[in-house]
Amino acid sequence: MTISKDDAALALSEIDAAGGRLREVTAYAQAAPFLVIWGLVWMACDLTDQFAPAFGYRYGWTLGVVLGTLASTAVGVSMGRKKAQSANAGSWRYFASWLAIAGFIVSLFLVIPVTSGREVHSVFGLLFGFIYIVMGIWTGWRLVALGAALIALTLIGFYEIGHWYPLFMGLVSGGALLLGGLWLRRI
Amino acid sequence: MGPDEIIHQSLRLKIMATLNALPRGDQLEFPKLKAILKATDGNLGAHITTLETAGYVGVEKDFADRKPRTRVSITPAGRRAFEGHVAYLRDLIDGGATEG
Repeated sequence: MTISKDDAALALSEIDAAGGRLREVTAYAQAAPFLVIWGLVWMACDLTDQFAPAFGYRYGWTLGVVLGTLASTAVGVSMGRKKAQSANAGSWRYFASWLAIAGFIVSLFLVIPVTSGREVHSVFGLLFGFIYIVMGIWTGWRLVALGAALIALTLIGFYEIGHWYPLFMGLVSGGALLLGGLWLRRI
Repeated sequence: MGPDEIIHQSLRLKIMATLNALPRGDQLEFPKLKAILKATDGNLGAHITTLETAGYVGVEKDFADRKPRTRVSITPAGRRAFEGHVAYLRDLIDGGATEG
């Protein structure tokens, strides 16, 4: 069997690429259920804002975020158990991550003046879009594409859609997350 | 230490590299491995059989949700052989091993 230095270099690069592809697919599989959960929360809360605004604006998002956080924590704990890691160590990190993001958003609105629910809503869309882009830079292009789509749709909704803004955001942005999660699961 | 002729074939090398990157004891389902390697069913199956015959990978077949499921994992012997082959390749590039 003859292996030249060029063959050896090529083989090593193939090994690196295979490991990288596995990490990418694993990251997609881990991100998918969270995207599905938050896509559903987003869609449900926005549809409530559009069609039952009195309830939606007062309680809808609080309820949605609490349910989403609990569901995300449950999925995180389940993933931790599957990996045979310490379930407790996994759970507090997932829960703490969501708390940190929620804390950042609340702090942001304490220092930046907000004049409408539309602005608050759009900040959420932009923030999560950029979070997905950063995650995608480290894992794979599909998350970058999802984040960019979310940001673009949020800006289109903010500037171009009038009365039907919550419906647009629910169906299009919430739907983008939901379909994105299902898309990542297929890989 | 010389090259491992079974592992060095391009698709088998990628199969071993992918399985070696899994955490110890983890298995990968056949369709996921196929998607990662962008291989066809027949080609991937044939090379997995070759690696299984050599004792480098383990194949487990069962049913999940009433559907047949095939999972593949690297064996301790496979991990040792893969690491030895990678060490040989690195040594070759660094000039320690002879092209053979």
